[in-house]
Amino acid sequence: MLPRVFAYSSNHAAPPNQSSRTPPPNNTNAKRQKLLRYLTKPYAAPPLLARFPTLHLAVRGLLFLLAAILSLHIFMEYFYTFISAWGISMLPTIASSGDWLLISKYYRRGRELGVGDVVSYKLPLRPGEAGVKRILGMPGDFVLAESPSKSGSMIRVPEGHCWIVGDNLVWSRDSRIFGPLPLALVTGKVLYKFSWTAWWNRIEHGLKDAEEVDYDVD
Amino acid sequence: MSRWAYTRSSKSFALYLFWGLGGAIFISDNVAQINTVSGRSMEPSLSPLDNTTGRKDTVLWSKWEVQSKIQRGDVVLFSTPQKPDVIATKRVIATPGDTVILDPRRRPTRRVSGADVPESLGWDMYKRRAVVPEGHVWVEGDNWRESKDSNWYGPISKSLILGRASAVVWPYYRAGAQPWNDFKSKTKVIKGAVERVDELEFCESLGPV
Repeated sequence: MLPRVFAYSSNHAAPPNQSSRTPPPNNTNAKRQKLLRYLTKPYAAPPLLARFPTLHLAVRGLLFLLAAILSLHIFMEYFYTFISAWGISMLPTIASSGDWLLISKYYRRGRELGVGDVVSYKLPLRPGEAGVKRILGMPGDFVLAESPSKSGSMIRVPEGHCWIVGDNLVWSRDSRIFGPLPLALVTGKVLYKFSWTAWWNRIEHGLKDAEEVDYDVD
Repeated sequence: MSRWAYTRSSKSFALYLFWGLGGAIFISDNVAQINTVSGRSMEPSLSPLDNTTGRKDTVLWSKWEVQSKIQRGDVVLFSTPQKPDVIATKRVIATPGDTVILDPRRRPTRRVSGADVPESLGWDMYKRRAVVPEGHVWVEGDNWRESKDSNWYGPISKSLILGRASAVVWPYYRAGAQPWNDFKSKTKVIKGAVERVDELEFCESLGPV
């Protein structure tokens, strides 16, 4: 028995003398002739809804699905995304697994970004993959080319690029490997992280004011 | 008549707007995009009359799995690396692992005086051989006199690429044509490939931890 919404109820009474025990007649030839007639003379065919009474439900369902896909795409591409992060490159800030990130797409293409922001970006060396790192330098800034090193060689971030480094310096593939990242590859800024143990936590930029230590004072 | 009156209501208008706009955004983000090529950098093949009569070509760019389909000789649409909001059109000369033998005519200089620009130093540092790294491509405009391309800013990431040219849609007398197939770039390329190291194998090769 079909559920009530799917059951076809017509105004017409059921044709008499039709027992459910007798199998339907095998009128394949008649059906074929009918189909041929409908195809050659479309105006002779009964309306689609009369032939397939649940058609409007299927169309309704498909349209609703399409509308949901469109709205979700627009929301996730231009407003906010909520995705799970994986990997140990941002370890003190973002766990290696199980953390979910709320990413604002307003900051895509480097709009209104600053040093210290955690951003999501498309990997330049592997198209189709994405990552999350922290910005250490904006265009014109001088940054250390290799952070844990004794050489201390610095480079200047070129126009339209940024320098991104993971918080876990010893295990992170970032600008120290592929160089400055074009701001066009930045897809958004991480605002909050969510995990089942700590719930919602805002991701701050890790910058502090420089402490003035006066060593002369005893 | 009554049906028409119903469809013209404001509720239906909002629905039409949603379907039209949403569908257009979804298609232009994922499937295909239409964009007009301006400027002289692709001159023999795209918008050849832009400098004289101002006639520009409007091109259909396919976006479906672009990054994996890119080959040498394709014309691509990409965000320029130095200006995030500007998009440009160039031809892919070399793919990852290739070695480009740089064309001295394309050395970055000031157009009128021929004086050096800051980019000239970077071009000289290649010593006329540029190896394209993993996930990157070397792009050049067809017009060597007027093109700011990989000779200026180096190889660009494949992630920057937005679309691959599939056909001209306007002006009408060029509609459906692929004029970039008639042009052959004179830049020499030594073909190569990048060996993709499997991460698991690499970790195992380090030995027991």
